Amino acid sequence: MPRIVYLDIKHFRTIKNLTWWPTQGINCLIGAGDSGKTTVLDAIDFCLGARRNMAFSDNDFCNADTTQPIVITTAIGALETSLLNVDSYGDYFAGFDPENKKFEQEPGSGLEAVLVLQMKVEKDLEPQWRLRSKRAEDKGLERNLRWEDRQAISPVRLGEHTDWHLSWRRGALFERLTDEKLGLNEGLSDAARQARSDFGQLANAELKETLDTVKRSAENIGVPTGDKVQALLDAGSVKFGSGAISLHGSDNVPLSSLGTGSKRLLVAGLAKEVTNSASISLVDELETGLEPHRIRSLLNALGAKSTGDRQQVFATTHSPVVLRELAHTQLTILRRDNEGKHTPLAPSEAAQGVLRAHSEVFLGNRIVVCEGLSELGFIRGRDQFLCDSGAVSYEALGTVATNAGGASNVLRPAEELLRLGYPVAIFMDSDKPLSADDEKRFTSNGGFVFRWPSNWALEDAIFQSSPFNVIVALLDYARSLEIGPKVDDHLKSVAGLGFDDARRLAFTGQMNAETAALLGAAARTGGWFKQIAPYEHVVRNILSPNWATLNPNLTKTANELQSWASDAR
Amino acid sequence: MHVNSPDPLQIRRGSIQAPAGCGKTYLIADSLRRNNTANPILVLTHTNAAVAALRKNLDRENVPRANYRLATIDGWAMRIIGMFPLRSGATPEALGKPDYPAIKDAVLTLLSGRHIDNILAANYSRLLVDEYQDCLQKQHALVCELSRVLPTCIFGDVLQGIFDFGDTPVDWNTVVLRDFPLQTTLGKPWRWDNAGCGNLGQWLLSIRPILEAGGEIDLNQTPPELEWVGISSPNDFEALLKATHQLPDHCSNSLIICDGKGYKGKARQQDIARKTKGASTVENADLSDLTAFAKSFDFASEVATETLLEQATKLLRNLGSANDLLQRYRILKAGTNRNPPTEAELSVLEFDQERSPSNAARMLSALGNQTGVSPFRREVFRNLLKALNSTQDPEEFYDMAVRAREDRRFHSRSLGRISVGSTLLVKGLEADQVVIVDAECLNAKNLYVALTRGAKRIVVCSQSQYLPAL
Repeated sequence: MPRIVYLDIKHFRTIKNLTWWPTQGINCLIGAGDSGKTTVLDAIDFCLGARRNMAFSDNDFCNADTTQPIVITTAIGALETSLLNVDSYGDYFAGFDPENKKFEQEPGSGLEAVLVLQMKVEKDLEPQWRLRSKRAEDKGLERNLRWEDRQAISPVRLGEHTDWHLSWRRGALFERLTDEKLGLNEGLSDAARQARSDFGQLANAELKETLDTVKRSAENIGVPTGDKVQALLDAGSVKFGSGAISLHGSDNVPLSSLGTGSKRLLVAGLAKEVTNSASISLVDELETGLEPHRIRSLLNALGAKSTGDRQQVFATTHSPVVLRELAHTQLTILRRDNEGKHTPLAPSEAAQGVLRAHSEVFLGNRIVVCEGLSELGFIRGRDQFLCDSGAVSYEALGTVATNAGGASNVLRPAEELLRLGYPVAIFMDSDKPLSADDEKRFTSNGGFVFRWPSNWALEDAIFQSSPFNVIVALLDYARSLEIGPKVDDHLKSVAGLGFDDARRLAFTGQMNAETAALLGAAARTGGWFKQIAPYEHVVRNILSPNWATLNPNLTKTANELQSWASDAR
Repeated sequence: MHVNSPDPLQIRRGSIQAPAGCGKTYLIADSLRRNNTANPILVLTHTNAAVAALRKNLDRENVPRANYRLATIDGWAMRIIGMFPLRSGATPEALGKPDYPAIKDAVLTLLSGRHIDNILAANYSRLLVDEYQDCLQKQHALVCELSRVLPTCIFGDVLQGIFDFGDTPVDWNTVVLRDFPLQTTLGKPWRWDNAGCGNLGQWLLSIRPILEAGGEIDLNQTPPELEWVGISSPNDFEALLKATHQLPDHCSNSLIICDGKGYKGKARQQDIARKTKGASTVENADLSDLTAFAKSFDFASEVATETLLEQATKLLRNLGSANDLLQRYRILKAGTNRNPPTEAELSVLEFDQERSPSNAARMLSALGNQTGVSPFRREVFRNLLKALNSTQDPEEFYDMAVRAREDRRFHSRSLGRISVGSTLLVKGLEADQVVIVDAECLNAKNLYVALTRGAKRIVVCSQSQYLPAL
């Protein structure tokens, strides 16, 4: 089954420049919004699609700059018989070395024979397709794929035209599903005749007066009409094209009126059955219209779990469900650098765990890997407060924060994400810090680490940096939580004084730094706020309103983190 | 017609020995027609003429052209290395010339490097090679390389290996049969059975072992369809021409084979053709006499008219001797003639006045249209007229002659009623009757090829009762 082994996009829509070596099977593109994922699918569709008319506009050129042509180049491998025809393509085959991702001008021993098809659009907006081959060009030869070959490799696009694929039309899956040429023309003509005869005299009776008028005036001006004028069904207009036949359910309802998701599932299933063609599918937003369990069905239909790799699928997704279902080899992260160059990145095996546990981060632009739920709640609460006061949320800017689930689990995902080109920051406590070597390696590779001074954990930082009124608020809030009844015990065992004493000391401004530190330790060991929601509340409603009165030991780190997270482009 | 033999489509790697007239072409056609795989069968043979002849036969047998790809070995090689110049190392110069030894080396480099094995397998379902006895060593190496990838069946007959390409043909018994083990030998003489002369066909099969073993056949011990004409010498024209002129009612055409090496053989064929009423020579594929004349002929020369007249006498019989013609031309030119010029003679004078290709064509046509005059080298004469009629520019005459030759190269040769040629020229052709002049000049293989050209009647002219004499 033909598949794309190489894709190069130049100057097409948002993509200035992209070079990609897709794999067999599923290639699911992920990345932040507007990173050009759909543009990649469109580029494949335009370059390989078998449509006779494709309209381009100035807006299809990168930056609407029509002086630079749109050039989309694909190398097609796993060629089948008709594409390996020497009579048609002998001067055009190239050799591909998948191991080293290298092309040679001619096929050769140990190389895969490929055809390189290029679509070019100049400012006249007329797309031109041709096979690229130096030796053919040297000979002055130029050719495109044969039309039947274009039809055979033409990608099936799930999402658009699903209705079209469910009716009997040239190139539609319903038609491609069978080799039979429908002997329908005769049957359709018969149906038209039948309709004509059934309609019969119906109109004559209803239109009697009009018909009489026609007959009279025809006679008056000497136009012969024979004995009578009749209103019959016009045989010429009762013509059924091949599209007149489409798939219906047993209740005679056309399958095209199924829900979006169901239709896509069905079309994906059909595409799998078409043995001779439709080996390349394009699926924009895999999850559209599907519940999680049906997303799995669709992925199965697309061959996500099979090793045969009969189909090659290009998809985009924004769904963590999809990400969790796919293997790292099936994902490609599309990133765009500041110069507008797009880079597809393949997650390594190390990313598999991140994928399962933190799938959502792959959909972001920059990533904060938080040590635990507390840090996650902290950063969210701060963000919520700033949003309330008119700032733009870091989430809106494409930054995603995720919970690593413990200090020892922070480094691995952070490093893998960094390798994949994401800007990554680690936000963690200092009581169980990274080893100096690890931290140095991480930061020298471009990562950031935000943590509290000395060996503080979050609670230490908060209690040791807060003025008395804030400490009172914190204590009150802790008591109001589910854990509230135990707060008194926590305080007694860690700080040596009960809740009432502690509150009074703080309230009256008599609490010394040592006691505040012990309160922090009690909060930490007691796990007072150790969930997302409590920390959101603490930061949003207690700390932030008093931000200016907090010790810089807390606010400096938090401000730096916030500023980093909001720097996303 | 039904052929009872191993199915060539079932042979992975082997050969079928095919004596003349035993249904080989039918077997090939039948196999190609039955090809129900998605891919065509590659059919290779040696000469363009053989390609044209085979294609004609396949069309006649209604073999769909999509079922096969037919080419000469060299032609196929040139195409494929043209597609992969880097892998084959073929230079544009080698392809342009064409430099056949370089082409053979290039295609072997390409195939033995296994660069296009999968492409070959995707394009052809199997390989059939015809006329394998004419295979040269490097062509054999090429076929061996192809047979690594494609199931291969070769057809040939060691007794019909008479081509001499000036290169070493591959040895049949030690090499060909080693690399392509013999699957069967076709044994039913269809050509003669269909002509109602089964006995003659059986006899022709029966002499094969004798000829192969270097033995002699006795012309007095033959079926009645073979007539031995004893002649007293090669110049016993009375007996020879009596033999070449005969064409019994049940035979619709006759092939006269006279051989001999080199120019002498060719002159002899032309001589016999000129002297045999209605006969015409079979010409070489390269039509060298035509192109050589076109190259040397100078319309502006003072003696252009004489040269053209002389050329006419080499192509037309009963034109009178060249000397008489030239004499008459000079008298007419001087205006001292007593008799008025004939229409043909006027056309000669017209050409003399204005030496254009069209006037030359008109002159030759007029000469040829005279009563009793006809071409005995019809192919050369016709293509000479074609070349002259194709241009108004004398400078282009040679190019037009080459083009006429190239056009002809890709057309299957069709025989006139009586044709004269050598065994090499008539190989692959057949007629109801064959007349072998100079049978003593034929070795065993040439003799076998000559004898098997006649479906209903064979006439052998020789001094000796026992042949081959070489």
